Amino acid sequence: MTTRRSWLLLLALALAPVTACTGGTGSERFHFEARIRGTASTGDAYTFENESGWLVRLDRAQVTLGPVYLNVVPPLRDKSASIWDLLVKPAWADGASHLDSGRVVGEVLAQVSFDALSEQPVTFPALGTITQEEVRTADVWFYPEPGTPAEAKKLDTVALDIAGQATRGDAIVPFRGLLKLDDSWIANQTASTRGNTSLATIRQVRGIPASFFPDPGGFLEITFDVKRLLRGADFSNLQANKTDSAGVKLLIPGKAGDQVMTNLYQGLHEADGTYTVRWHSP
Amino acid sequence: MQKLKLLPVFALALSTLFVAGCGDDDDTSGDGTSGKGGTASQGGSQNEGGAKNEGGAAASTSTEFVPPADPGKGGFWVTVSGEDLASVGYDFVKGALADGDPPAFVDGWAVHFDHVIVTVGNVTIHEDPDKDAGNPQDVGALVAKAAGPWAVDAAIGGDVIGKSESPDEKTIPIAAFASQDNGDPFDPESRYAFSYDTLAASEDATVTNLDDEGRALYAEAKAKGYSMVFAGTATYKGEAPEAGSVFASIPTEVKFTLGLKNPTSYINCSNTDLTAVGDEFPRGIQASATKSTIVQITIHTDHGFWDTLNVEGTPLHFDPIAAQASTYGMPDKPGTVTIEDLVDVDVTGFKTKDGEVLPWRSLVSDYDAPAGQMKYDTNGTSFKKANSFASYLAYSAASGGHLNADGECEVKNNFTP
Repeated sequence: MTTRRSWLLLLALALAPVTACTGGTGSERFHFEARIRGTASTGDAYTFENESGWLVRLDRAQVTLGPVYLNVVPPLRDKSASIWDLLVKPAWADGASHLDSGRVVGEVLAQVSFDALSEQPVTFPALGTITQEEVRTADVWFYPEPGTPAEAKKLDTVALDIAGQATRGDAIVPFRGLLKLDDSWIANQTASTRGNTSLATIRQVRGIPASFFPDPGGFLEITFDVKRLLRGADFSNLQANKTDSAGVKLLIPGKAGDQVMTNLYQGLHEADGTYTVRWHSP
Repeated sequence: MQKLKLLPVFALALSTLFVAGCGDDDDTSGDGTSGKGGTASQGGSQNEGGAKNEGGAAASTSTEFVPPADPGKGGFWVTVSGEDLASVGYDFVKGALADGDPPAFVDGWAVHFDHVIVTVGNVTIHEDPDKDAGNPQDVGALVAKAAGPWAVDAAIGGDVIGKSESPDEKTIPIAAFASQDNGDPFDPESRYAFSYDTLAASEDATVTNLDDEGRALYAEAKAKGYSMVFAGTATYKGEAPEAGSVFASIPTEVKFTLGLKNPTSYINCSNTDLTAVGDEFPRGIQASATKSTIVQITIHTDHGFWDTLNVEGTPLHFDPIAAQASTYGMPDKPGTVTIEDLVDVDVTGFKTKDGEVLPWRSLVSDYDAPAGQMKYDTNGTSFKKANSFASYLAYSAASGGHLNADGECEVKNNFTP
């Protein structure tokens, strides 16, 4: 019995530092609430001047996104396993060469719609789960609604529904548009050739800066700055666009679309600016 | 009983092992120059261990640069290459995009570089490139370093044939490590993490192989803080454009000078000279007991011309640059373009110098040009100046640093595009 106790004691002594390696809380896995909201607005109308000199007033900016993944730093692309890998099997976010990817430690497997013109937070309809580890980047994915076949190309999920009016000098341009991340954004390049982008890729925003150590009882908050989507928009490019019966310019989606829609698409994918990811401790 | 007596020792050793592997390393600055242990050795200095680690030296910019000699067996000989594409350029041959490696510019331009000037420095060798599978920037102790910096023209090159073994790929040695900085030999059974930086041009840089024109460009680079300068001539070799189209207004010969503010760290590179594990190459460099090992810092010149950021190998285009030529509207008159001409060009909707919409075009058989106005995809990257083409080029070109031709490094941009 004495010998057996010694074994257990020694084993505990040996393994104690293993738990200490992960920040002192032992890689605890827990659930958390995730929220998302827009940034500050000014009264009923959301108005700002962009870098092209247009005074933009937004009347509507409804965003639908999710799931969200939380990552540590990008992985070593070496298949050799460490002792830690033997103890804890890591999940790897896919990535291309040296430009992105990361190890997933947390996820919010849900989709949420929210008003980007409102600071009022909207809670994701499902709790997230995370392994307690330093988070350095986040990914926001714009996946189709739950239940949509994975191979579906034509998707009706609207990632961004936007409407407003832009003014510069004497020019007044009312506009509206729906941004769907479907195959109309895929480049005309031979499939599987070097540099080809996939449908999955255009539905992902990778490498959003985040730096926090999550703790149980805390919650994740994502802030979405809709102004970044129109930062470089030049509404003079909409002259040839169709107008509706009310004289509102209709934005043209897809890779052959107009400059304003292109800015919306690229702003939605902007990792460093559009999204702010924070952890709120209890 | 004997085993039980050893148990406490075993447990303590195991415990110590884990403790040693725990916690944040204060020396992991992420700049690829961190590490504990060996003392830094500047190029050309005699280190304590008696083994000589050399960086090529020149007393001043007017003195001829003498590349460091082959350090001999067990050592590392660090060279810089822009591959044959820097020295010979990109020809345009009508045909399939997929036939070329790399593919030709899809819009019919042949691009020749007169200069590909890069300032390279902070060449470091650390132990244990696999220290942290989750963080390639976390490496072992620093064992050797050559700070440089060196100003290198990769279009001119030197006397050492590059990894492609093509006689057109002439690389220039900049540093030689005969041993670790403490005098110990490199272990031929181990891999070492290899990292380097590209830096803003500076007075501190040893000018290596720059000719008079290159030195003039480097003086401008120092004044403006460029870390890369791509200068050359693009010649349109596609079919004659339709009369009246914007393409008919683009000069068929364009001299370009693109100074790029994009200092970057290339950290713990993977090595395509080593045997791949699955479809991945191991990180690090490995000495040979019988000869020196050439470690080739490789600058890929095609990255700057991709049409999507953060995606490898998208089609190459020159039209957006040529459409800003000084002689736009006079197609028979050679024009010039500098990076300043591209600062205000909007990548989300390219226009010509005269403000006309610039459409896509393809002159190869297997690339379908999209309809409508030409635009590039910044793919998650934002710029200080919204949509600036100059920023796009700097960011995209910064991804072109590699090891031994195609080995990929952790890329850490030390600039805000």
